[in-house]
Amino acid sequence: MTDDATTNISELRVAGLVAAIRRSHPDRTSNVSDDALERFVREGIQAAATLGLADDGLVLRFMCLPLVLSPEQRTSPMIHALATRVLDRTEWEGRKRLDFIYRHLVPRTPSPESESYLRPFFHTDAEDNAQ
Amino acid sequence: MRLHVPGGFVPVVRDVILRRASLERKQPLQPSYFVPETLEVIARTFDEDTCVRLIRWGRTIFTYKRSEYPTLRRWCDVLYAVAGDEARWRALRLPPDVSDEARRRFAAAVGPAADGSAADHVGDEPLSDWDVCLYALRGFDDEDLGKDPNGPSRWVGDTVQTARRLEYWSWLLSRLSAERQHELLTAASEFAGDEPLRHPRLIGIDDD
Repeated sequence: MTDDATTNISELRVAGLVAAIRRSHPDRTSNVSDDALERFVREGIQAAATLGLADDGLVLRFMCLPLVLSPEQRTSPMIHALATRVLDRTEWEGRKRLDFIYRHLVPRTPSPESESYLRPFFHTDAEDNAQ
Repeated sequence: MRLHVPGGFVPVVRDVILRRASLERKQPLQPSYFVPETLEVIARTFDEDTCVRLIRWGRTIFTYKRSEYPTLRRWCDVLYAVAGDEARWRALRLPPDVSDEARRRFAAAVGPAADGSAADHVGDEPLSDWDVCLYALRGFDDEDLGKDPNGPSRWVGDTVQTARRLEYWSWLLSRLSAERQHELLTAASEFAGDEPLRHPRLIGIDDD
């Protein structure tokens, strides 16, 4: 395959994913420029690849996580830590990892009291050292 | 799961688990004293009887691997093989006043739980924050239908099954004299294959 063909496929892929995100999340993307969204998609494709997510359906679900989570969920240490742990569980196929996150984490309402109690399960060493 | 503990037991054990998680994060290579610490806290918070009850339950009912309780498993396999055939069941030579009820009770003990056991309801409710942490950290998978799935439904289901079967044998053996128990052993051995059956009084008190 020529470099031009590879680039074209990549551009087509990016364009397809951009369009899919705009269709599925119009409220979150209506004020986002095409350039910004394309950067978001390219970075998402690269990040997804490190997790072994290649299928465009899975890549889309992965990239849309920040869009489906509320501000409280995005800043929840527990949701962030558990989502990271599950995504890193590469012995599970990508579908299973994303299904877990969408089923058990996305609907979750963060509880500061509960997260404080459960902190030892997901508090990182970096956060310990920062304190 | 047939573990009868006082109110407040679960939070006490969870606190020990969280302290352990915190300690392991800070000192990952240190040996774990989780079991003695848990028993100490339980004895200190409740009483020694609660501690003893937990240990006994852990050794005689809780089922971590399906290969546990081999004598119980073999005896249930033998009864399962004969329970569907009237003539084969009669060949066990159980006393007439026990035989029919024993067969009915056995079917109930090994069949689907009629009392809505906990195993039937795993997955019905959304996971609590505690549960979702354990699921994510331990990789629990409720979709795994393999032989030894990694998930609480397996341990809950297997432990409930063990408890029900032990209750059955406790009932049956209470209805049989020592002589009748020996007769049962002789009769059941005809259906047990090459490996000898152990005496039924050893059900529930053998180790792996």
